[in-house]
Amino acid sequence: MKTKIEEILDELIAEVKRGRSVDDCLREYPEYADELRPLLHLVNSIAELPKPEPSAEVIETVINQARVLLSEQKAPKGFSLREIFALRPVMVRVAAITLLVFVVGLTTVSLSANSLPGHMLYPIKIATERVQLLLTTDTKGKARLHVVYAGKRTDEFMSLLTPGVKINEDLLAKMLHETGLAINCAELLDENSALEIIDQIYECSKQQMKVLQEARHCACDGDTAVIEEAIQDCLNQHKCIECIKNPDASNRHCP
Amino acid sequence: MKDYPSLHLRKDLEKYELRRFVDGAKKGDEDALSQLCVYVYSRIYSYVFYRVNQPEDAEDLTSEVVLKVIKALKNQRGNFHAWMYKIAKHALIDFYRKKAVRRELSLSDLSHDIADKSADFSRQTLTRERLRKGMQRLTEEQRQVIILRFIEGFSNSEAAEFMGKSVGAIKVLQFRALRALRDYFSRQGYEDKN
Repeated sequence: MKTKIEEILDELIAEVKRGRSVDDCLREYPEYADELRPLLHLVNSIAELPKPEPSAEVIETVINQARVLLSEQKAPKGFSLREIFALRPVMVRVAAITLLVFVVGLTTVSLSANSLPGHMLYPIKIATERVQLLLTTDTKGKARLHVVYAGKRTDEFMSLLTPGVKINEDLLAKMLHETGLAINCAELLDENSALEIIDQIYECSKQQMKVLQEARHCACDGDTAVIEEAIQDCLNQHKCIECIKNPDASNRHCP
Repeated sequence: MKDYPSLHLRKDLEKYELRRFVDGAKKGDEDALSQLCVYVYSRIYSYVFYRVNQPEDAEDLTSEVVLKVIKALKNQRGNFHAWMYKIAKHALIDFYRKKAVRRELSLSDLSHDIADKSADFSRQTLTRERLRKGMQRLTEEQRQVIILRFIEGFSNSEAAEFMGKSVGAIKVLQFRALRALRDYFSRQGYEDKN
């Protein structure tokens, strides 16, 4: 049994619409008859009202305007940026965002190429180098990259070298580390490939030694030991390079 | 003047027929476009007629809605009626905002009201003008449900879909709307003819 008056009214409206008389319908719900009778009569009165009729002239005008609108839509015209977005909103936006990210990324990477340690773009430079290394699968390619990075660290160290100012020890370590990694890669290569790359490593190492010699002259007291240690490491790397260049020299051992 | 037999709301208009008008108009068929304009105009005119003060406002507003519908037709998807009434609803909101007539009575309405009260309302039957005045006492949703259910003849589920409400909420709204109208007409001395 229905208890809500709203439900009962709705049911009776449906019955009245089907043609049942109001009084007949209300016999089923005598307790609601007084409340619902005027509402049902009102529903009938509203339904019987003549429909509001708009003027034919107004409709004629609207139809003509609609035709003009449609013909304007059909007319070929150049695409504005807004229309392109409306046409394929998702695809175009994804493409635009991708392009934007690519352009911004490329610009940032280009700007970071000449950055020095301490600069806000320097981490991007290092990250780019790491990505390049990850994307390089062959050992010879990795060796070449390490030589390039060793050269970059050397240039950076040289740029930051200022008489009386404490040297960047971290950068110094990275500089020698990159050369060491290049040597490690070269050791894994076959003889011909190793010889091809080892000359580049040797040239880089020679340059590092020159920079270290210069650093020794202008270093402050606290840096002397560090630089001496770095020079010793550099010399050891030279020996390793010699071992790779002349593998048959049995009296030499790579440190 | 061209005669439009479809000026009266076509209750027998089947869904497939409406679909044919919509599809035809989308493809640029001018006959389909004209039929669709007449159909939309008839529906929307009834929808806005009882929600504005002047018939001229109803005509202007309806024309605006029809053109908006035609303009946006290419992007129309899903239930056409629900989409069409949504456009009409937004146009009405804009209209209320512009005219600042939301539910407040204008001075002219007030003077009419006084005149109506002084007149002898007994044994007068319901007219469109009286219903329009009565509707102004309802909330926006109550007006909408009266129009959709009893003037446009939509089912509870259709009205629920157009208004974004549940069928239960529509039943409650129609009960409250009818009761509010009855109270208003009782106060005015309107006596139902039944």
